[in-house]
Parts: sequence; C-alpha cells; structure tokens
Amino acid sequence: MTEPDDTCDGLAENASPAADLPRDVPALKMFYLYLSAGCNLHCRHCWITPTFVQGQPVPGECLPFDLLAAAVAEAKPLGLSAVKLTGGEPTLHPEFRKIADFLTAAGLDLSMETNATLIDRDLATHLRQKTNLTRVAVSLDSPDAAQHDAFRGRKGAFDDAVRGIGHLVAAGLPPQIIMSVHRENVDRLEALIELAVRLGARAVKFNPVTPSGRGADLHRQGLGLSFDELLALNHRIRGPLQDRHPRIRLSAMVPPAMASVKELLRYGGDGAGCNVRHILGLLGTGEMAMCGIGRNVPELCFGKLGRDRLRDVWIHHPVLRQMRADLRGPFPGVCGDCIHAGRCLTHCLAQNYEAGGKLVAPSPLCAEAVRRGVFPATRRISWRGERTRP
Amino acid sequence: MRGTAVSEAADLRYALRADVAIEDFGERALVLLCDALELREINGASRRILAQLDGVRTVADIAEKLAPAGGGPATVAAALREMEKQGIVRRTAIWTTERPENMSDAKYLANPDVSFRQEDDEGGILFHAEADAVEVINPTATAIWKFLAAPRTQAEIVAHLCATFQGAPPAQVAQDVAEFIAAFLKKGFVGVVEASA
Repeated sequence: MTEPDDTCDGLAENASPAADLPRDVPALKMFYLYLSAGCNLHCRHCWITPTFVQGQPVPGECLPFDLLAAAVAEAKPLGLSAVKLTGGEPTLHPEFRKIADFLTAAGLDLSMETNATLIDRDLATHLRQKTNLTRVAVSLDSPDAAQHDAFRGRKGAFDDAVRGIGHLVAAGLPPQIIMSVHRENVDRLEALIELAVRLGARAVKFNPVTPSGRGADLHRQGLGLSFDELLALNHRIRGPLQDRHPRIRLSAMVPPAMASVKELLRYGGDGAGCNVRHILGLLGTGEMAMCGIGRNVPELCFGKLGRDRLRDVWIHHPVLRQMRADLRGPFPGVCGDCIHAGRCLTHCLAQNYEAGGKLVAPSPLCAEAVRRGVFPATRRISWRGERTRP
Repeated sequence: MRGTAVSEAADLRYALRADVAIEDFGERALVLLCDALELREINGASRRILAQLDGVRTVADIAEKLAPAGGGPATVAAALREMEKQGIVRRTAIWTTERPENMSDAKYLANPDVSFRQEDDEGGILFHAEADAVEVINPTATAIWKFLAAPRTQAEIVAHLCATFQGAPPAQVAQDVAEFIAAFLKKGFVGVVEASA
C-alpha cells in the first residue's frame, strides 16, 4: 500500500474533518510550516535556499509564535488537521518546542523535516513523549562523512546528523532518511540504504536534485541527473534495491505513468498524488505560499499572516482558484490523455512551475518522455490495444 | 477476447459501440470505426437493425420492431453477431454491480467498458474511463480478468486458476477469488450477470 512516507506531504486522504468552506473549495488540511528561513547548513542543492547561519543555531527569519497561533485558529474551521515542520532548519526556531507543544495541544498531527544536527536526547524524548510528532525525515546524502559534509557545506554535519538520528531512534522516532541524489552520489544508493538500516531508520526516500534554488547551479555544473538516469534511478530504487532490502521502505517520487506495473503494485497503485489542493505553506516571513516554492517565487505567495485573513486567501486568491479549476481537468498536454491524471494531478506542481512557469502542466519527466517518444502507450486514454469485450 | 453466449439468442442485449459513425448510401451504409480508423460496409438489413439500437436493446426487442420484414430473432441475432465481430456493436450482458445474495451461485462478468492493458509478466492495468478509475492487477488477477470475458461463477474461476497455476492451493485460490470479486464488484469493474441472462 501507499504509505504517507512515499508522498511529499505524508497526508492521509481521509485525514481531515468536515470544513466550513464553499463547496468548490477543498479543505485546508495541512500547513507546511517553514518555521525558520535560516539553516545551520549550506547545502549545495537546497531548493529552498535558506539563509546560512554560520556555526551557531541562530535562526534566520522566524515565524512569530503569535502569528502561527492565529493562523491555526483560522485554519482549523477550514479543516486543518496536520502540520509539517520544516524550514530552513525548523529546530532553529527559538520557540520550536513551544510551537510543537502548541500544535499538539491544538490536536494536530505533526511531521518534521530536519537535518537532525541540533536534535539531542532531550529534544528527541520530548518530541516523542510530549507531542503528536510521528514522522521525522532526516537529510543524509551519502554514507561517506566527507561527501555528505561537502554537500551540506559544513564539516561535521554528517556526524551531527548521525548522532541526531541516534537520539530519534532511541526515543522511538525512527526517521525516514532523505537522500538528495545527484551525479556525484548516485553510485552510493545501496551503501546509504545499508547505513540507514544500521542506524535504525524506518525508510529511505530518494529525491533527485531539481534545478530549483541552489540546485539550479548544480544542474548548470552538470551534476543533475539526465532523463535516462532519472528513469533508471527510479526503477532501480523501486525494483531491485527494494527487492534486496525488504525490511526498509524505499521510495522515490515518480509520476505513476513512468512507473512499471510491478512498481505500481508495490506502491499501492496510482493513488499517491500530491495533496497540494489541501496544503498551504507558511513561510518564516509570515507569508502564505504554495508549499515552499513561494520562497523562491514571489508570485506564488498569496498574502501575509497578520495583514491578510487566511480564510480569504484560501478561498479567494486567484492563483489558488485557478489551480483548483485546472486540477479539475481537462488536464493539459499528455496529462489530458493519461489514465493516471485524475490521481497524479500532474505530479509535483512546484517542479512543474520551476520547469515551465505553470503549476498544472505535465511533469518534466512525462513531458520529456513524450518528446522522446517513450511515454508508455498503454498509459494513454487513447490507447487502442486489447480490450475486454465480454 | 470474445465471450460465450449468455442466454438464448432472443435475450441477448446489444448496443452500438461508442466509437462508430454511420454514413448511409442508399440501402447500404458505411460504418467508420473511429478508434481503429477502419471502414465497414453493411447491408440494408443490418442498417435497419442499427437504427433500432438507440441504447441497449435485446434481440427480441429489435426483431419485434422490425417485424414482419425483419426476419425474426434468429436473423437479427445472426446479423448482430456478425456486426459484433466487425466491431460495430457490442453485446452487453444483463448485469448489475449490486452484490448478489448468494456470491457462490452468481455469475460474474468483466465490465465491458473497462480496458485492460497488459504491459509485462508482472500484471496489467485496468482503466475504467467513465469512472476515471485505474486498477493495477498482478498476474493472478490478470488471469481472473481475462477469464471474466464470459460470465463465470467463483467455482469456475477457481478451477481455471488452479489449472493455470499448477500447484496453487485451492483453498487459498478460492479466498483470493472471493476477495477479488468482492473488491472489483464494489468498484464497478466487475458485474453480476442476472439469472435471466
């Protein structure tokens, strides 16, 4: 079955209560909470491009607690049931614990993306025992400390992350490891999986570096994966690597049209699309945005907490309204002829926007497959092969 | 895949396929199969039958409408069978997706509006265009699906699978079949052929 870890949001389809909204406006189920615009690492491939905070855990721009509390109060009647804590590095927020406790008291499910370098035994235990945090994802790009540190931009980042993972595991929060894959570490997948198993992680997710934020530089340097490499990577992860490592969940976000039948069967069919219709990003600046892409793309910021009413933004903002209309179909390009489109919803809208300036558009991978004539014919609605004729 | 007859000829039900266009030329007509981009020529008798197919109709209904010049149910049935082979009409069983009272005795049939796409030995994909639904099925489910091209009881499906997959434990197969039928019936991918069919 598809598991929350396999998706970007980790949001269960039925996770939200009924919302007080017009019929054509979906529930706002989840905040992506970019608690801090700062990070204590300086990762070469980060798509968020947070402010680098040298050495000490001094935050960049942090979301004020009062604004967050007001946003939660506004969003709960709209269906809010879950929050992903992310950043920058979320634990850099000076009121991180207070925020986690507050969100827990508000009855919200919590997940977190972190580099784990600032997680000590006390914090891990607190998060496990006192909060609703159930899923943690930790970035680890290589089983090799020097390689990881080189990409994370700080010596010692690997050791700190491994230590943090150890605290999480010991506290009963075995994390998912997220590996950002590029040409220089693509040959270390299996070694990283083995390390993840040794560390007690519960899953590994592989995110190819996208040409967004600092990742654009990486691609310009020729370190991004090519179309063929991306396809091979996805098939390898979801096929032979998962076959060889059945005790740990491996995942890679790939449009279902580009996954084999075996992979679709293994990952629960084609139903693990993006829940972007139910998500609002809150940036450290207090801006309301399309997931995290708003940090890089100002036109995908919809308003500011404290100045604009969240409810008004959610219901009326023209970008959100247009996105909802577009996601009702008909879908553009090859998606209009794809049997998966109704679940896939054009895959990652942020990536689509970065690639072509449109949110609802064929994913870069599918679009390239069409250009190369390798988009699978059997995934087209117009396919005219064998039909069942009882 | 072709199904077997599900009832006496007069009770068979047919519908015009959705992808055909008809152009009349005097007594005869040309039928364009739009999906396949192929043409079929039909005679006047077949054209008159098609004129009655405004929805799903039984052979008996059509024969009655065309009487006395239509030639009776046997003639109509033969013409429809021929047009089915040519891809102009499709036969539809009298079927429902309601769960039958007795699951064991009921006969099940694959939904004719679902297209099956086999990709490799790992299984295949079912696409229900009207419901915009996809089911990814493994090799066992693929064998069941193909077998349901004609109405089958659960026992018949189990026997077929046991013959196809040598060594499969019948009790496990029976359970798998029951689960498949229940799940796919609920989703509308499989229907129940009513007793009269």
